[in-house]
Amino acid sequence: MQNNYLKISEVIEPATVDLTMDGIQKKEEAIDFLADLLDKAGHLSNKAEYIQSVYEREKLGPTYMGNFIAIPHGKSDAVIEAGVAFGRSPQGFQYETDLGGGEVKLVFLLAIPNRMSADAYMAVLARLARLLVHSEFCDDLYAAKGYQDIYNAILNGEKHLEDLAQSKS
Amino acid sequence: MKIVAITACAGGIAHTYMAAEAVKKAARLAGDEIKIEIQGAMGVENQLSQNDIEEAELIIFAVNIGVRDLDRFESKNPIVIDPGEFVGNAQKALEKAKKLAASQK
Repeated sequence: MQNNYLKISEVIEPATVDLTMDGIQKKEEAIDFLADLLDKAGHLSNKAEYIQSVYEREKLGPTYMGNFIAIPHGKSDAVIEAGVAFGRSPQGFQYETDLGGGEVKLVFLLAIPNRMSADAYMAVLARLARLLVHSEFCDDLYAAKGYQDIYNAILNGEKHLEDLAQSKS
Repeated sequence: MKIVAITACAGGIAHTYMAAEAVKKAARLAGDEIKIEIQGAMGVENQLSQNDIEEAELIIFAVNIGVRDLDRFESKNPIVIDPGEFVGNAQKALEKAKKLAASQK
C-alpha cells in the first residue's frame, strides 16, 4: 500500500470525536449523530445527501465488522473535504444491516469526496479495517479519556501497520 | 512453518483486509513465515509467486467466495477457512488450519 494515501491520523480532529454518544440507541441515530459532527466541522455541504450515500453503501454489504465495531462510510459530492468521525458508546447500541448485525460500541464514519479515486478511498477503508483487527488498538480506544488518547492510538496504530508492511517481503 | 494465504471476502473490501491483517498477526505470533495475497476490490495485491506456492508448507484460503487464478494451486491442498474465523480469533483459526492440513497428509 502506498504511503501517499490519506491517513486516519491526518483527518481525525477533536470536533469529530465523541466518547459517550449519549442517548444513541440504534444505528440510524449513530449515523445521524456522527454525520452531524462532520457537518458542524465543515466537511459536508449537504448532510442529508451525504447520509443518503452512506445508506446506499450499506445496501451493498454489511459495515458491521463484528467485535463491537462498525465502519459505515459514504462517498458523495456533498463531502467538501475527507473526514472521519469516531464515536464510542460505552453502553453499546444495536447496529442492524440487511446481512446481519449486532451490538456496536466503536464506530467510525468516513466521509469521502466524490473526486477522490476509488483506490484511495479503498485504501483508507483498508487501513482502518486493518487497524481494527488489533485488540491493542481497540483496547486503547476503549481506555481513551479524551481526544488526545484517541489521536495517539490511531497514530501509533498506523505506525505499527507501516512497520508490518515494510517487513512484509 | 512457511505459510501462504489468500484472503477474499464476499462481505467487501474492509472484511478482506481485516482477515489479511488477522492471518498475518496470528502467523507472526506463532513464529511462522507468512505471505498473504489479498484479492479485494482493488484487484489482486501482493500476488504470490509460483515459487511462494511451491515452497509453502501450509496454504490457507481465508475466503468465503471464489479464489482467482485457482489453477496455480493445482498440485496443492489448500485449507479453506472462513475469513470471519480469523477476524474473530486469529490464533485459534490458524491452529485449526494446521490441524486440518496435518489430518489430510
